[in-house]
Amino acid sequence: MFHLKILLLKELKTSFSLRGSYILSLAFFSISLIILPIGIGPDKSILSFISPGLIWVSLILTSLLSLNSLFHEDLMDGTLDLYKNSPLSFIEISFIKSLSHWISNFLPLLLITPVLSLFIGLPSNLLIYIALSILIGTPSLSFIGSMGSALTLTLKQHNLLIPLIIFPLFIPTLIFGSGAISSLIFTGFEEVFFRQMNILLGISGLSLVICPFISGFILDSNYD
Amino acid sequence: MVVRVLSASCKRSGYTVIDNISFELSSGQIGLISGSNGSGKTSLLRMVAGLIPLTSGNLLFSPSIDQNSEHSDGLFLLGHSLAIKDDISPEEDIKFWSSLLGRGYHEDVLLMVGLSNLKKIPCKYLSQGQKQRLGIARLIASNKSLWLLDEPTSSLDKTASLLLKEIIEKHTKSGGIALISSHINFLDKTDIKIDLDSNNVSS
Repeated sequence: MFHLKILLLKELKTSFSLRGSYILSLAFFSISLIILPIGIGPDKSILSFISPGLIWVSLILTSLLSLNSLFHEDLMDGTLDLYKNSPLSFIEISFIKSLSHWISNFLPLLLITPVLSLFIGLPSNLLIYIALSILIGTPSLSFIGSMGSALTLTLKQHNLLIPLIIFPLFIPTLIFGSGAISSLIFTGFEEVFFRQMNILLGISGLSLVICPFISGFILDSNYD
Repeated sequence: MVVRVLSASCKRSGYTVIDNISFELSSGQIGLISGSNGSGKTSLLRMVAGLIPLTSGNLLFSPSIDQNSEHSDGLFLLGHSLAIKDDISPEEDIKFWSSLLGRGYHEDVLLMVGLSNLKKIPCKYLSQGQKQRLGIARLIASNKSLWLLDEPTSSLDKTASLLLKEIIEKHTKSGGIALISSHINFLDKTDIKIDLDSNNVSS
C-alpha cells in the first residue's frame, strides 16, 4: 500500500508539473467546446439539444490526446526498466498510472465545464447532472485507454494506433454518458437519468477492476 | 547471494547478440564485461536484469545465506537511460526511488555524490554528468546486493570516477556483487573478466 501511495504521489507530481499534459487537455477541451457552437450556428435550441453529445465527444477526443504518453514516456526514459525490478507489479503500475491520468486530465475538466456549458447553451439546471456524468463516466476512459497505450508501447506509430484500437471500446461510455443527459432534456425524468448513470457506473467500475490486469499483462509480454 | 549464468544465449530479431556465455559471481565479487561496440555488453546486463528474455540457457539467483547481510536480495540496473524526470528535483527523485526500492531516504546519499547543493532544483537543469551522479546516488540508496552498471563512467569526470570506484569497492567489501560493462578499466581489481569479442570468461 505504501509503495502504491508514493507512486501515485510521484505520478501526480509529474502530471501536474508545468510540462504536464493536463494543460493540453484543458486547452483542447475548452477550444473544442468554444469552436463547435461557432461551426454549428447560433440557434440556441439546436445547440442545447445536442450539447450533451458535444461535451462527451470532446471528452473522448481529449482523452486520446494524453493517452499517448501514458506508458511511452516511461519506456523511453528507462523508468519502466526500474519499475520492472521494483516491488510493484505492472498491474499495480497500470492501475496507479490510469488513476493519476484520470485525476490529472479529467478532474480539471470538471471545474471548467460550468463555464464552457455557457458556450454550448446547456440548460443551467442540468449542470449538476452533466458534472455527475463526467465524474462517473470518465474513469472508464482512462482505464480502458491504458490498454491501448500498453498495446502500442513499442510501436513507432503508437499515437496513431491508440485511437483506432480504443475508439470502439469508448462507445458504450459515450452512449450512456451523453444519453443520460439527453434523456433528461427530452423526458425530464430523473429516474431515466439515474438508470443510465447506474450503467455508466457499472462500465467504469468494471474497467477499473479489469483493465489494470489486462494492461499489466500486455506490458509484461510486450517487454523486451 | 550468488548469480549464475549458465550457457546463456540471446537472439534479438534473429541476430545472435550473446552466444553461450557462462559465469558465476558470488558475494564480494566484481565482474567486468568488455567488448567492442555492439558486442552485447548492454544486452548481457539487461538479460541478467530480466529485461530481455534468454533464448537458451539459464539464469539463477541464489539468495544469500547470511541473514544479517546489509543488502536486500535483488538487483539495480544503472543503464544509459537514467529515468530522470525533468520537473522532479534530485531530492524528490532520491526520496521516491529509495522508498520504492530501498530502505528509505538518507540525506547522505546526495552529499556522497556531490549533489547536496543542487538538491532542490529541477533535474532538467542538471548536466549529463550530474544526472549520472544522481543515478549513482539511487544505486546506493536502492540497497540491493547485485549492481549492474552499464558504462557507469560515461560522462563522469575524474573525481566522480574515482568516487564510483570507491563506492563499488565498499559495496563488494560489504558482501555486494557488481557486474560492470566498461570499455575502460577504471577498477583496480576484478574477479571475473568477460570478454564478449572473443566470448571468453577469465578470472
